Amino acid sequence: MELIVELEAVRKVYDSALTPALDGVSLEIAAGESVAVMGPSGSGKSTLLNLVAGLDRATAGRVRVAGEELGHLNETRRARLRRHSVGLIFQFFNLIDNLTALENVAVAAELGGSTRADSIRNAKDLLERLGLSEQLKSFPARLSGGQRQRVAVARALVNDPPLLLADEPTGALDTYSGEQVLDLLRDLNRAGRTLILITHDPSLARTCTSRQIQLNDGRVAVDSIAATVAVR
Amino acid sequence: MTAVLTKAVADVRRRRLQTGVIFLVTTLSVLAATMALSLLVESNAPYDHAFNQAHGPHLVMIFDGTRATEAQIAATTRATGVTEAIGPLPTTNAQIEFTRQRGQKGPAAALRINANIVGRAGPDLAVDRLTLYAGRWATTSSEVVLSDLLAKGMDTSVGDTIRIIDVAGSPSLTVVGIAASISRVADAWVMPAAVSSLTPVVQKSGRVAPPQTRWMVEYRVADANDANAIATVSRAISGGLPSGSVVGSISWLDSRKSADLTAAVMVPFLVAFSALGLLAAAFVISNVVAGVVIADRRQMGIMKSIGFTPAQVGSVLVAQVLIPVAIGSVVGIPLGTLVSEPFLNETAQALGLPTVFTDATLVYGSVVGLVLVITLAASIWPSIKAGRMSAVSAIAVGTGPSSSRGAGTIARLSRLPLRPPLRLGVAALAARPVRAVMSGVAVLIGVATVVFAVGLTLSLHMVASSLSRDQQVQVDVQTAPDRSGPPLSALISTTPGTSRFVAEGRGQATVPGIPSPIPYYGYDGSSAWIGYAMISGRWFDAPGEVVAPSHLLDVTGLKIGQSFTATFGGESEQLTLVGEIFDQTNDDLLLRGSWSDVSRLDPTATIDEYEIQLRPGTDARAYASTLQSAGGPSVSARPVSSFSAEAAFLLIEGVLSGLALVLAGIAAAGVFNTVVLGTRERRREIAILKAIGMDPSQVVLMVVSSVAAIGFVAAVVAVPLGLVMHHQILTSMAEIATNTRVPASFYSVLGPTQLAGLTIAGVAIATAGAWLPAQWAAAERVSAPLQAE
Repeated sequence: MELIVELEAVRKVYDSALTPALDGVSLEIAAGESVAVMGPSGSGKSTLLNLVAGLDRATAGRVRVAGEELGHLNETRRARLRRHSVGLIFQFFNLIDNLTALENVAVAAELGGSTRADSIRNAKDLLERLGLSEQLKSFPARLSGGQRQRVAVARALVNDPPLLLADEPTGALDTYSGEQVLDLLRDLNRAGRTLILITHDPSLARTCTSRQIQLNDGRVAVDSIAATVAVR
Repeated sequence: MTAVLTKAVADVRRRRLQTGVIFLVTTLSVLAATMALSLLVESNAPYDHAFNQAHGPHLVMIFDGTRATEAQIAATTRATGVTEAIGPLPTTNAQIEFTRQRGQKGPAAALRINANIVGRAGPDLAVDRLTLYAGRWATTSSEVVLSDLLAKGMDTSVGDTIRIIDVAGSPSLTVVGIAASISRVADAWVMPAAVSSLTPVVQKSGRVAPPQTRWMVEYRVADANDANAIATVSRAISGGLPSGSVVGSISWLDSRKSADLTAAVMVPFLVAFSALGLLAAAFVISNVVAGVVIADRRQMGIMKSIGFTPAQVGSVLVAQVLIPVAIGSVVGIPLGTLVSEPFLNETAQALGLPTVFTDATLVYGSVVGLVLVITLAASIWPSIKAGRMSAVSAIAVGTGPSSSRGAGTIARLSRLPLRPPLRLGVAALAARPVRAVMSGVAVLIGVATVVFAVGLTLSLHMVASSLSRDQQVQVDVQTAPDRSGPPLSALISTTPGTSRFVAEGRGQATVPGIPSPIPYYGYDGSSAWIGYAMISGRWFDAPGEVVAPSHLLDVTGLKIGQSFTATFGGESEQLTLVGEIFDQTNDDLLLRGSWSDVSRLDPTATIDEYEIQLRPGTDARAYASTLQSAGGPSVSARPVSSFSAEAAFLLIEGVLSGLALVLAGIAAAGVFNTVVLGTRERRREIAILKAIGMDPSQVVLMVVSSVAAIGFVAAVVAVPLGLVMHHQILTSMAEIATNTRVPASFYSVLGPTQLAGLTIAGVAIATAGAWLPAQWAAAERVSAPLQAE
């Protein structure tokens, strides 16, 4: 079994905080898995995602993603890892307001090393596949929430990363748009990509992922795989 | 009001970076404005200011002690029209020998100079208070205080010794002080009792006569601005003395005329610099203030929602800007005064003035007033606009996707064939076009100033070099017409180190358009090498040809190539004007040509000067000393120094460099502010880009490229602007100074490489200003902005 994410006794304490955001978290996620990380506000879900994405550094412990020990990588190498191995999807889309839908996706491809022409072509293909062929030249402000999130998904996929990290991807969407995005993520997981879904909604976690991890106060409270193994 | 103050102070405390930026920019701007205004004030009638400060003498008279008694001379201090006086001060004219001393390179070589030595009890007498630059006053008869001009010219400092060589025993004196007098009559001062021992004994018909005694009195008179009134006082003074008692007299009006001319030369570039400094300060402060107000709109919405009135909202914004501006002014004014001081002192020295007087109150008041007006002007309109904005739309600023500001321009820029960091950086300019333009103007002013400063400095070096001609002529020899012994030209030829030389004599000629005769210099031998810069035409190369300065051409209406008849004492000669030269000798009314022509027109003229070019590596001072010893007492050889020509330019160069640095600093601070505000506004965008794989170096590149592009565009405009300023100011300075035109070569001091380099200076200034905030942006944690709504 190939592991794509490994966390070993990870601890994260923010400068201003009295208590750790993550405290001794150990996890292994295999390539192709779909995992939901759940928990109430302040449980450490987003901190976990930031550490796996290399957006933040652990205070202690080891984080390994796609075979790379993140603690050993400088900022530049972390950025390169994100370009090729990690696709990020956020609750509030995080599209660049001054770029069109097409440019938002293409710029990620260019950062990934593609030529301008290839980037535009790939971005256009992806957006068309996601039903946004009419919105290629629209700025984010002109798009609906669902459309924005699909642009964000296209951007996450444009460099064909093996790992997708989605932080409350339906949190800012209406029910219909949210269902569409979840269907998309499920399809991508079925196609072989690893999916880590951050959510506070247990039912969404159960319907979308095969494994659910519950965080409480920065610790793993429940890991459904471990629970299943334990029952067996 | 309390709520407004509480909120404003809280904002100032919370936003340390913003407050720091306003403080920094204000401090630099106030520093530049203080410097600029101080120099401008100083350049306004500096001689009058210095004269008042020194309580200078309106009339200085020298009396022959063999014709009038000390008591008779003392009685002149009560003459009609005299309001105050010091003297009689014993004075003598003696030959001082300066010998190369400690710390100086090369072989020992002595130089002699005739100097006025005045007996004076101290620097602070009632009239003509001296400025003691170094050391102390003489307290024994073996000590001397030198004038600053003599000390500089002879490279002498406190602790050195000089000898009075035409006095029995050639007494040595120790230099204990360097001082300056507004009257500039004395070259050195000693204790009054020491003067008699330093006075040469005059040889008369083989008999030794008693030492020649002279007395000097410095008068202040009632109606000092009227030349006739001064002349009347002068007559009243001499009228009460035996005939022939007055040896010489100097009116302050003559000295003032000369000093005011030097000051007038400096005014064009000081005005230009002051205007640039104030303009740059205004732009940068406006940019900072407007940026802060724009960036604070969301806070305004929140304030309004909790009950602040529009006026209170506006007041909070203005107050939070005014607090750091006030602190910046309080720090900037003393800093500006401190930085100005060396320049002001140099101004005084370059003008030949002993002390400096600056109306500080006027300067400080003007600077504070200007800064307040700029700050209020820049902050009030955005504050009023912000106050009128509805709370909902104010709060909405910064939340959710913003409308695509400058979308069309961004779309065009995003098609540029550049890598994403560069493309995104350049495209960011379109999001805040006004801010980009304001930063661009600050950089433009900075670069234009640098171009102007570099250009003018190089031009002034050429002017100084051309005036002193020390690159071409290293030793100048003057000889008495009745000198006996072997020909001096033979002596010069055989003196080791001589490369080439030319003999020179001076006659007189009357030319059409000038009523009185003017000097006509003739050269015996090849003289094309002696270094006069050509404005137009060429140097003469045959008898019958002459060259002349611009002033002569303007006064006579002569053109290059035109022939005219020069006359003198019944003789006449047909001459052709073949060249216009850059020449500052003799009020710029003179001719230079062949010695054969001069001697034919004015048979009384004699060769009395030699200009010598030395072989490379020859010590000019040692050479002059050798030649002087070999030539005997009627030969005076001196190394040509660029000091006198460059002294006035040193100040200009110092001020140019100082102000150029400050203005470049202000421009960089303006860019710094723009980038800080820009990266703060683009915090989320930068976080997104980092999240999708932009690495820190690419973030730095993106941020820097946004302002480097501004810097480049600004520099492309600024370089020609700086060159135009350089051209105009140099032309004005030359016209004011000496009614001369300037050789084309003095303008063309910046070649394509230097101009390209100066264009890069715009990018460098912008990059310097952007570097730190770009690093901050690259290092900032991205998780928080990504998770914010």
